[in-house]
Amino acid sequence: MRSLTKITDVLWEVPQTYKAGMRVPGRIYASEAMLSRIVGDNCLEQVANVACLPGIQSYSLAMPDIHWGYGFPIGGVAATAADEGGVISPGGVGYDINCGVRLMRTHLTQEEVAPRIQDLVGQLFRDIPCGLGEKSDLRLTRDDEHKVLLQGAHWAVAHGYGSPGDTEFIEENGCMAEAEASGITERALERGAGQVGSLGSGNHFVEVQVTDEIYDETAANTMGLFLGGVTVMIHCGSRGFGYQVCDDYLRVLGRASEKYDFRLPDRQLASAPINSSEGQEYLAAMRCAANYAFANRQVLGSKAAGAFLHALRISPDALGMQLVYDVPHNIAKFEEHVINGKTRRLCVHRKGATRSFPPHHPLVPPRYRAIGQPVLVPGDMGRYSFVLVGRPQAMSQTFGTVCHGAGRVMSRSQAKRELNFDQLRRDMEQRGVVMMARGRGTAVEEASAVYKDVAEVVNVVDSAGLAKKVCRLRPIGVVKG
Amino acid sequence: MKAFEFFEHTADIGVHAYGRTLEELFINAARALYEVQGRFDLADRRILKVELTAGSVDELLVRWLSEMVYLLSAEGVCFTHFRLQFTDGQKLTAQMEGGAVDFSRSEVHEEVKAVTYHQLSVKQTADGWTATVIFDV
Repeated sequence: MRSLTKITDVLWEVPQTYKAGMRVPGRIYASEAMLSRIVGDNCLEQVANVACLPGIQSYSLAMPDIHWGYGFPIGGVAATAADEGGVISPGGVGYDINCGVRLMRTHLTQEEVAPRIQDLVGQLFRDIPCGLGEKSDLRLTRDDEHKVLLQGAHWAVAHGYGSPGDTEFIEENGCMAEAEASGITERALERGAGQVGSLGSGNHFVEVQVTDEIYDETAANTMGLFLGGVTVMIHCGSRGFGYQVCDDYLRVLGRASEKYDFRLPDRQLASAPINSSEGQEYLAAMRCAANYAFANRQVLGSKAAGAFLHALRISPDALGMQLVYDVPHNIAKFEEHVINGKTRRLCVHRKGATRSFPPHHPLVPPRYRAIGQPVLVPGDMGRYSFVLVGRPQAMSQTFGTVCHGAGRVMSRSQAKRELNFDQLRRDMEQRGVVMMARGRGTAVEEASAVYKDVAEVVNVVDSAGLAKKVCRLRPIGVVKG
Repeated sequence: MKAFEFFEHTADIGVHAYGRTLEELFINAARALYEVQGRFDLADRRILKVELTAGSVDELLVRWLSEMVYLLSAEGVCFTHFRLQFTDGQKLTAQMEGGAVDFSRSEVHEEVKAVTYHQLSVKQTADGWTATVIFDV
């Protein structure tokens, strides 16, 4: 902790002198109470390692949900400049490319849903393939799969999943441009062919929630959220397709790092210059995986809506399900940011971090332009999640970025030693949450006790002025793989 | 000699694998990979031969385990019996016997997304071989 300089109560600097090779200082957003765990988890080292990347601008950043990751920490943010030899690093995106969160609101209240919650969760569990080995009912031809990679959520809409109006409420309008499938391996295509519309396992979930606290009435109204209202949140990414793309390109960029003579402190920071054939190939492939995930969440959202209609026996009008927003939290994107008064086009890596654009930003959908971009931050399955909106300070301090979730504090093996499934189910019942999980071990590894309290994480970004709390969502039903 | 053991890691799963020979090490690492993911009932019998190359023996371990990840994820198959031959610690030929997993009858835990390079090591010891590898779940 002696290595850190306090900037504010929620902002700490890792000086450039902390480690040889750092090109910029590090900055960690965290409360003082969080710091000892952050230092103990060796995250400081990872923040310092990222600061060694060629072309990195301003600071190697870390959000308050920071925990240890591969190369980059989870909660790590780095912007690189192509015109300064800046690099693209797959470790700054993650294996689950465009893992992200989707929030949908309904007209329904908790009173209306509570008597049927068991049926509803059961229907979601039946309709949404989840867990290891569970394939989607959609088996794509190669041709279809290529279209998914280039069209993202638009492919799903064109095939009847959701409505055309949805794509405006997805970051990147549900499709990253300049996706190019020629560098996608047969392996990735094989893994992806049967998984569009499946949830996977681990920390992915579908959650039925109730808005139980509102902090900003205007913003909540604009998003269609109201006290006691029922929402659905989905956390999922690019499935085996994305994991394979990352795996394939870590090898390519590992060789590239040697070719370009990068002396990286961690081999998992394997990188290539943005302006190199390897860098451009990874970016093109990453965008394909991002589009796969956008399509996946669009299909999952549609299946969730179908489960509501079936279990509750209501009409679509009565359900009133609408997409609030859909955000990636594992991604790299080219964006314009101002550094020292000059507008620069930068490659922003967000690894377990969410874009947080302020009011009036042209990339925020017109409906939200007055309030700012919705930011979705899921907590653990027993407690709560939060909706926030982006603030201008994020643009000036963190390349328009905030946290993505709660961050783990307990290992999976420790969770399995200290908790058991039946105890977990009783605990969830006491909290008023109906849980259905395909993997009993997975559920235990995802219990509340293994995560930080996301409220603490969100309070840090709110205090730092990076995003502003809008409302809190409490789970009443959870489906896990 | 213990085949393998899991170790603490905040977000994912770390494995130390052991073997008297390199072949035994690689087989035990594969068994650890499957144990993380479940206890699988097989619906049929399959035989497969694979050849893998890598720049070093530790990278070869990642390639080997990644092959198992791919085969389970894309084709739903897992393997229980193996014969491995190594050339210079950089090339591996494997004959594997196993089958398609019947997920409806199997005990399923969670999917390993990928085999990472973090803390990766493969070392020769007085008793044989030991490896450390972390799986992203």
